[in-house]
Amino acid sequence: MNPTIRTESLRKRFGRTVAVDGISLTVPEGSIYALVGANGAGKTTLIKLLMNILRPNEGSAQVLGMESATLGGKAFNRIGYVSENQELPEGMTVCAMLDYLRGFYPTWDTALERQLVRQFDLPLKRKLKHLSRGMKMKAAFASSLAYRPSLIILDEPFSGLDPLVRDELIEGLIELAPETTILLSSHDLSEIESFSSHVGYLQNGRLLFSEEMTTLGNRFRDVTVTLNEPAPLPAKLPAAWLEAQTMDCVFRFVHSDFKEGSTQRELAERFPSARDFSFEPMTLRQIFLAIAKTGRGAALHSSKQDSASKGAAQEKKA
Amino acid sequence: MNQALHIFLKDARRFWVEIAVQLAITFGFASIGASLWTQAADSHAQLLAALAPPLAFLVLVGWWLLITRVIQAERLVGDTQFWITRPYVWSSLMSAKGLFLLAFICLPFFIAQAILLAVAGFAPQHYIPGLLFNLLLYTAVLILPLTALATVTSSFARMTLTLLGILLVFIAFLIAITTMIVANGDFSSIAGGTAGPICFAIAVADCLTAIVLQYALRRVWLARGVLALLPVLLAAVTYGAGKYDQAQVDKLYPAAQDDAPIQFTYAPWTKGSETLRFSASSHARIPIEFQLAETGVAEGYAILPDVVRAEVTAADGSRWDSGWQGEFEGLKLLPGENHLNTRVNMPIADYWKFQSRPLTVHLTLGISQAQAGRTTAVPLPNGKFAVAEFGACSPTTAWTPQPGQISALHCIAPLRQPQLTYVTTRWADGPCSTGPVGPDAGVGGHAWVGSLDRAPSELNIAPVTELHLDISNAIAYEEKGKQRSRSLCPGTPIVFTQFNRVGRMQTSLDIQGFYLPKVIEANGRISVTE
Repeated sequence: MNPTIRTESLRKRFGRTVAVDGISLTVPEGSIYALVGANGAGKTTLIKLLMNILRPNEGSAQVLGMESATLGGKAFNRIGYVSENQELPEGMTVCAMLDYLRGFYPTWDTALERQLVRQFDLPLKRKLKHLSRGMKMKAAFASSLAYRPSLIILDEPFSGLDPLVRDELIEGLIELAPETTILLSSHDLSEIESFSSHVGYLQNGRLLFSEEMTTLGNRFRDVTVTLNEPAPLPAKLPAAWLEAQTMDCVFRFVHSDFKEGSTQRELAERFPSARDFSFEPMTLRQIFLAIAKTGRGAALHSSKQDSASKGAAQEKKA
Repeated sequence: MNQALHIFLKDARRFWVEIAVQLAITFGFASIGASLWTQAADSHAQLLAALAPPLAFLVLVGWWLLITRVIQAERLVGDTQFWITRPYVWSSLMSAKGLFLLAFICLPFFIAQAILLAVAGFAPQHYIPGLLFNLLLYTAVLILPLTALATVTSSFARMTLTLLGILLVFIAFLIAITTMIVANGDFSSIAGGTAGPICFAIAVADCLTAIVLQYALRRVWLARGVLALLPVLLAAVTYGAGKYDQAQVDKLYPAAQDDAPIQFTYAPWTKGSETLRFSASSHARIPIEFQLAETGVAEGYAILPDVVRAEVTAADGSRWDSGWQGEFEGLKLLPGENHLNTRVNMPIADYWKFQSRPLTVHLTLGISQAQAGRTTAVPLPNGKFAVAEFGACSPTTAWTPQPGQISALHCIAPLRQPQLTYVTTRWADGPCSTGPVGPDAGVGGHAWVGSLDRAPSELNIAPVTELHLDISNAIAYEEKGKQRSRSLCPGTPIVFTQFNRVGRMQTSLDIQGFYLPKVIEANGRISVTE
């Protein structure tokens, strides 16, 4: 199956600053792909490169089978794009904007438009410039979802929105999810954790890893080894052990390549005098904090970006 | 629905207020213009005349606002615009904007001009090509450059600042051109010059390239670069065309054979006392005047000196060539008019080499020969009258010599100057109670108006050109410096004779023992005594 988005060694510089540094990424068809990273990590630049708003200095990207550098005009019939920075035709009313946009899209679904207007409680007669930020985002969502795009790209769509508006938008998005691929960026892990099927982590313009949420959750564990007597930190640690620390008889680390059974055996061999082992599942937030603090992206050798499959994505959605 | 039309309708709905204001200004200007040409010269007309220039300016300002607003409704600069991730086809977007400008700027302007022509008494259907040419001129000179600027700027404020910057560059460009003209001579009289049409074509092509680049690729800096290149190109073309025109004069003006239509001889008739003063600089040019007598202009012909060239040789063999220069200020020679002044400008560095030495000057003049054609004689009526192939005139009354007497003629022509026309009449030296002035009575008066080289239309926001008919001998000079205005009596024939160019040629003469004028350079000023 062809991926909806594929990038090869994509690089973008602004003067001496490298905003996107050789990113190779695959977004499987039907997935909800969350691109996460701190502010300034390169998420927005990457999305703008995909949308042909910016042009890469090196590398290439394909979006819906087309070279991103040629993306334009009617290709956007199949793409919905919403960004926190995007300007709207502020002089128009919500109704006028929807009326105007309807003429551009052969696949515009008037029933869905009405449903979204109702669901988002959009004031049709008010000008966009008189709407709150949340309402503007809802209007942007409605205008980008009503034509049932094959790909929806959202750049920090929930940034600065109150939880109620955010949930409404996510709800609207999830309703469309079965028939579309969604790529969204966020610096807030909690807001995307609940509904994303895939995740990619950007740091300083580099993609540290990209994989399915389920496999990510499965391979990270917060490991605690309780020893019989205090012991120093082992001299040479495996690359997959992050944030290792020892305190008295307790040795703790984050295992980034946990495998049920084999990991326990490996630890039992390494720490024969250990009294106890505990393996706690981690939240996405804990995982990213561990990665970010360690700064050992290269050590995340088990990146599974190419193993992502639509089946897993659908499973997550379900 | 066609995407271009869809965008056009959106813009028309969105900017209806701006459109309405623009239309009101355009047609307000048209109605004032119409009133000006149909009403008598009373205080009301004076008020209208005072309102016309600001309204004409407002029309242009309105264009600027409307163009900026509509182009930047889908801004082409920046990366946060709503439309760039929507299925806009660039050619449709560009077409929609073009259609908008056509519908709400060009078409109203065209209609307003047609109305003005009709009100002025000229049937607009006869001037459609001229009206279209005028529209083309305005599109090239204003609409296209404003559109190009709007495509490479992100907001109205930036557009305004850019315009101000361009204005400064334009002034610098004009200064440079003026300097170039001073340095190399003015070639505008040489068959209209080559630079104008080429500059026009380059400006249009450059603006169109920037616009298409922006819509097709949104390569802002590339498009800005293309626009920034324009002044450089124009300067280069102006300079190159000047040189080219110099080289073309010999082709345009072949040497006259033995039967030259005019003969010149050097005949200084005044002793110089006139002093010319100007700032001293290393680029200063000293005017060298030659007073000539001419003979041989045949009846029914006129001679128009266009360009002059002086080759100066000193006794020691040193030589200076002025190149072709045009310094005649619209001089026309008829049979019997046998004196003329011509001059060339000499760089001051060359002047110092040749001063106070007897010189031999080989003076060559490039002339146009014009032949009298259609002649129309009109007994002066009290009101407006039409002159075929010329325009329309109306007598202007004044308080002197007596209230209500006709003191001048006010003429208008559709779209452009008329063909070169010689206007003759007879002034009454006394009251008009005795009736029209006969051909042998009163004092003769004449005036030249129009041009041998005419474009289909002149760049003028009003489609009617007002003609300055400065009829000679309008003032009688009496004893003790007193002056008295003469008048034109109703019924006196006004004769309009049109002239057409029948040829161009060179004629030359040699002047022996010529001395350059006296020049004194002191306190940063140069004084030239002829």
